[in-house]
Amino acid sequence: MKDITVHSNLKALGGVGVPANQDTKKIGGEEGGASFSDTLTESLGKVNDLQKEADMAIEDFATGKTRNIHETMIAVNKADLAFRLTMQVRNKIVEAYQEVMRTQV
Amino acid sequence: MLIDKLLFSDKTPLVLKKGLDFQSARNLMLSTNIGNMETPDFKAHDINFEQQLRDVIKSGNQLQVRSTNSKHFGASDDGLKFLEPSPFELKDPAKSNGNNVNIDKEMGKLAENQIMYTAFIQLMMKRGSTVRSAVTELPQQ
Repeated sequence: MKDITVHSNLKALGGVGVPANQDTKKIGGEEGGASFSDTLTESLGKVNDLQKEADMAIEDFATGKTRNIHETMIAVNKADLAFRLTMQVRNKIVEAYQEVMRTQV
Repeated sequence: MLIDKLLFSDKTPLVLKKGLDFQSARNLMLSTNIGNMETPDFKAHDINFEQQLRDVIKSGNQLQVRSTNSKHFGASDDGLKFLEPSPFELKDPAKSNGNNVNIDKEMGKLAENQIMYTAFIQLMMKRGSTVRSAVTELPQQ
């Protein structure tokens, strides 16, 4: 997950076409608010953390530190669902990007 | 290989794989105990996966390996990779014929072992399906 540098890629995209004036800043929301790429990076970090948590839960279950099958299962399912959601969000972003690129000028 | 690393040689998958190895070995051992419940002088045997796994993971934590270069290998998982079941004899009091198999206990352990085996398989499949979703999901055209 570390290798995906969403931040740098999105910044590179921001430079294409539209000149960097105030209008592009408004898209990012209010002044001082988190930008889209920050939000995305943060979410990816959270998904990664969830997967690490799930791995820890599995290890604890295997070493007998916890006897709760359900907690382990919940952690693993949570990580899986979060990952799938991320996949779909990524698909939507790519789709939107392609839509914009196809637009006739 | 990346897939191999994701599914089999990383720490958590290795723990799961070893867990399944141990549980199938334990199943065999418990069946042997039950099969020999009338054999004179037979002593029941068992293995403790949790204990052995804890020992390996703890000893791995005591050895502090620091990498000063990004190209260094991390601490090796060899202790875990070559973990073998070490059976021990149960100390239960023997009956008059020298046999100490307690059938109720063995049946209970067998049931528990089976549940754990199924749970491990489920966890392994869930992890596999996450990787599978990453591989197969394409952005919609």
